[in-house]
Amino acid sequence: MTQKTAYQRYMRLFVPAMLFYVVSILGISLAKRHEIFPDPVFYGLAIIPAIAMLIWIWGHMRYITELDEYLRGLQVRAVLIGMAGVMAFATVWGLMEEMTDIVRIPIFYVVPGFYLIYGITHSVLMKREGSCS
Amino acid sequence: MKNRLKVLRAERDLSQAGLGEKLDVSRQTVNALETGRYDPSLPLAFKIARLFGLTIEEIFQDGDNNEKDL
Repeated sequence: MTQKTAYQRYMRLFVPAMLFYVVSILGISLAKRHEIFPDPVFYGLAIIPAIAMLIWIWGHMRYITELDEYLRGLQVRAVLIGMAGVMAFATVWGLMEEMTDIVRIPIFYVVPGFYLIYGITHSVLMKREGSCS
Repeated sequence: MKNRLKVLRAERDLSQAGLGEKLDVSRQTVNALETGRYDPSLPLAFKIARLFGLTIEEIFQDGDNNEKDL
């Protein structure tokens, strides 16, 4: 399988899963704002975006295994840097929330935070590759 | 690890993308190999050697010459 085919396969799964994730979060938030359901229902509804996220992460894992060995290494580096960034931030901010009056950040932002750092890191790594020819 | 990949590719008038296609790897991977930023796995090194009809040692040279230590 070529790298392009692997990327297309990944995007075919990622884009709908990401859209489903965003729409489900917006839908659940609206439902909560308008008190459409009783509170216990939201325990179940909260699982829906997580399922969408697990689907695209599975797609990401499949994509990484389909890449060639060098690009796979770059992906793994970007994922690890994303994880490191989010975990370091969560550690620092979590402790500050416990010990000070600093504004509380919902734990929900871990996912977008990870993808923000991962995306920037991967773009930088790939740009560096492109400029080294 | 040094290698002669760029020279061998140029001799065959191949682009990085073209060589990548033959090796089933990306252009970025060929670029990283040629510039010495990445050392290939053994299977990829064998694939490269087979493609050019050479041995691995004829393409890749270890920076440290440890043969005398063996």
